[in-house]
Amino acid sequence: MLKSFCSLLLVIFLAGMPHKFYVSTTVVFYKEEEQALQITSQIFIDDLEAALLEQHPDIRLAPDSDKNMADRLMTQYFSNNLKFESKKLILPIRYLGREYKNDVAVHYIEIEIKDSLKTLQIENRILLSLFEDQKNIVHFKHKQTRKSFLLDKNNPYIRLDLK
Amino acid sequence: MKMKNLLISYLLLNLMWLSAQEAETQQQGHVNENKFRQLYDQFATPNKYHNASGAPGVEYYQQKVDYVMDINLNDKNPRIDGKETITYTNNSPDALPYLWMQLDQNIRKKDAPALEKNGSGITPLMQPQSFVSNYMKDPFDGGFNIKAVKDAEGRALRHIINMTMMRIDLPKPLQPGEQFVFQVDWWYKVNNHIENRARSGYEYFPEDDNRAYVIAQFFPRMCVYNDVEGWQNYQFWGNGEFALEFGDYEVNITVPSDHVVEATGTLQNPKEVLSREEYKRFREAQTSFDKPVIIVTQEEAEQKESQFSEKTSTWKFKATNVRDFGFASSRKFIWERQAVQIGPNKVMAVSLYPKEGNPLWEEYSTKAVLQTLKTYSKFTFNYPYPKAVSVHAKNQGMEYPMICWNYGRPEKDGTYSDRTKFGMISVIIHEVGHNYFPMIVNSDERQWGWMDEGIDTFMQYLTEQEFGETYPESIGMQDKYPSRRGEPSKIVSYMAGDQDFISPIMSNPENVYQLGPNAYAKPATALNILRETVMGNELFDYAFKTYAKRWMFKHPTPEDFFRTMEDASAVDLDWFWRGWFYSTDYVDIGVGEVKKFRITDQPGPKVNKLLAQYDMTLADLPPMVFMAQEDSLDLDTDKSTVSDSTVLKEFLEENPVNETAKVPSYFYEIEFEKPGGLVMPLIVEYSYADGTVERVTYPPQVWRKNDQVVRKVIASDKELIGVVVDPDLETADIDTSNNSWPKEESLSDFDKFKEKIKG
Repeated sequence: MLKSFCSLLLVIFLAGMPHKFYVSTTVVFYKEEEQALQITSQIFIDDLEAALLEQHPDIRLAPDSDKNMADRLMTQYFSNNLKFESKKLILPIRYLGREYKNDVAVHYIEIEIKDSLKTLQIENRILLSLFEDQKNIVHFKHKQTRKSFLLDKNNPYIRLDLK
Repeated sequence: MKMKNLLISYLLLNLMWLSAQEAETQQQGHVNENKFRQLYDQFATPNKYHNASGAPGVEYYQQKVDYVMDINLNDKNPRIDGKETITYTNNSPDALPYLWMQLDQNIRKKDAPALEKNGSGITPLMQPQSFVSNYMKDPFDGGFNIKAVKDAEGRALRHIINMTMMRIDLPKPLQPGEQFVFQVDWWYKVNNHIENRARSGYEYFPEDDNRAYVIAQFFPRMCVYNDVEGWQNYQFWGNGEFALEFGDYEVNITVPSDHVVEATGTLQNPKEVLSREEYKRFREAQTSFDKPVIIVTQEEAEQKESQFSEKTSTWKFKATNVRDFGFASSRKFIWERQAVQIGPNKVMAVSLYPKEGNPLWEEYSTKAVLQTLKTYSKFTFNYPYPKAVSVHAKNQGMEYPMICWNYGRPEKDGTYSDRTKFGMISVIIHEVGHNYFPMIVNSDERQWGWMDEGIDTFMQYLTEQEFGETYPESIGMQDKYPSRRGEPSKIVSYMAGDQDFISPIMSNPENVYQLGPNAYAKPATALNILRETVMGNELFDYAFKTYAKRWMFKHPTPEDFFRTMEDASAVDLDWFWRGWFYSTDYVDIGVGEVKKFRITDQPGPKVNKLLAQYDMTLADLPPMVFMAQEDSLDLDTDKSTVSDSTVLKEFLEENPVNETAKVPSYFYEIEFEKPGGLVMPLIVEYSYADGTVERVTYPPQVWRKNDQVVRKVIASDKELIGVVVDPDLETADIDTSNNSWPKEESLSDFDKFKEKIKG
């Protein structure tokens, strides 16, 4: 049932509703002095819940029906859908947790960076398989550099050269 | 003496431009780029139809379109057949050789160009369902089948269909003041609105094999003809909503006898279509001001689910001065009505929902309708229609005159989260609120999404906050209703985004990248900032109400709104509209250097340099008080006193000011920088060593001669220890790291969260 509603033929009948534009916002802050990428990712709770339901049919968020299960599912979801790669190696993420602010879940993720980063590739597939119209915004910050990207199913990648 | 004064003025002037003088190159001319220049380059010229104050002009006109329709809903094989008779009154000064009608259902034709409106190529991944529907299944075979277009005598009228528009060629041009009566017969297959997220259609409930219909855009509707667009026949591509004329409707809807129907307009034959018991409750509800009367209970609705009446009933509705017509029909519906007094008008607040909506809907739907009518009426005009209906439809939020579809469905076991609850209350407020904008203040949605969505989302914010106050139990432990849009901080991430994918608010809804923030959140936030921070509630509220009242039952343009807000308040807002509505600029204002000064008898290096340049000495000047930057002097104290300047001391002895006046001890020059393109009032909080705090708001005009940097002076008896720009985060400043002096190394949200989980 849920799947069939999600497999939207088209979202052209978007409608005059206050809800329903599909977008997530992720801020990636490369804090060189702390040898870390600090990642903050904002996703609408109901969209996220729809994604997790595919893995686990009983899970409910905000409030979480099962916090440990939700944490596990989220860790797995981010490992699969928000990938950071440098020198052809996938960088392992550490999912710190999340806060709920109204209808948005704010996730905090950290990646340890031992040697300084020369290049970074980000692949953001958050909700892309669920919503045809999903857009994912990524802001990258490093020292004085600030870059913004709008990603979608046709272009889920970012490549960054850091000097 | 006179000569000397001239010289001094010249000297002072030179001092100001000292740095500018140093680089002398040939400069280019330029046109007026000042952020405060008036909007003549963007605005349409005022005329007799839309005047310069933002009101309807002396020759303002609009067409009138009256409909009489017989509609038949086939519930077995979902299809709607209709016959409509249209009386078109030409109030324009123009003779019309043809009429245009909108055929919105044609967007669901198999070969609709709208299906191919996007060009984003192949999808590298998709769910199997998407794959099947994209590449293996025939698309839904929808769209209008036009059976006949004929005049009052039954003669066929020549017509041609161009996608979602139909032109009807008149036998002879329709002259100003004349009426033309004609008939259109049609039918179409009703779609499942859950499958393709449409604004209209049915939801199928497999458990009991029933459908709930929410039906709109279901009949060919007249396009608007006016002085702004001529015929507004911009095709329906899916995003830009509707532009429609006002008129009177008589609609007879035939459905299976066990259905309950709500629609735009007043039910004319309740006795015929309701059971004796239902009719009694229906009557009771008319005077029930304190709580809703349940006309069809959940138990009664559930009983009907297992049946299917072969008989039909015809529900007759009449509506006066509406721009559209919608209806909802199902045997599954629970139905409640409550009366509410809005000024001199008695209004019925109505909710219609299947059992799947309970227990949420019986608890909150009618309450949300009531609050909307009360708050919106306070800020605009008394709700003029006899009712406002909230219908439960999964995933939908869509508005029509007097009736709207709203989401918010509990779990199967009846539990629901706060998110579902607030989502539902908010969408009901939003959609019922659309009665005011654009159903009554009837802007052109096809062209300007923000004029209804943005203004409505702004009003929704005010209403949600009042809902929280009226029903404190609904918000539990929270200190206010959790509105998701309206507050300045909530728009920051959008406005800070990639400029390649942001459009100005003044864009057609088809051509923007992110319709939600563009047409809803950003204009709503802009209006909230305008009300709270730029104009103040009193001036804003009067002007806003003036706009609503002026354009009630008329067609306003963006300029009418912009002009009225200024005309009724004497606040020049061209800079605000230009920045927030016509550009993608953002707010970023910060505090830079803070310099401390002393009064002295001795000129500082800058003045000395100038004197030297003109071959003058101090003796050539009349008595002067000098301000010297603190670190340029040898000082044994950090305070200024009157004895630092004998010139000032002598002057004061000869010209006493008054007893309480004294020489300030501290002088500061504070530099404010504005990396962002948007102009905003400069809101500053100064903190002093004695623990006091002072809030100063410099008008936005402070930026009119220098858009990047301004400097303000604080002369005080107290030592300045801190400066914070926009301390309450009321301007949607996208970067607050430059908002404090001394620079605060505040923990980021990320670090705060990390601290928190450490425990």
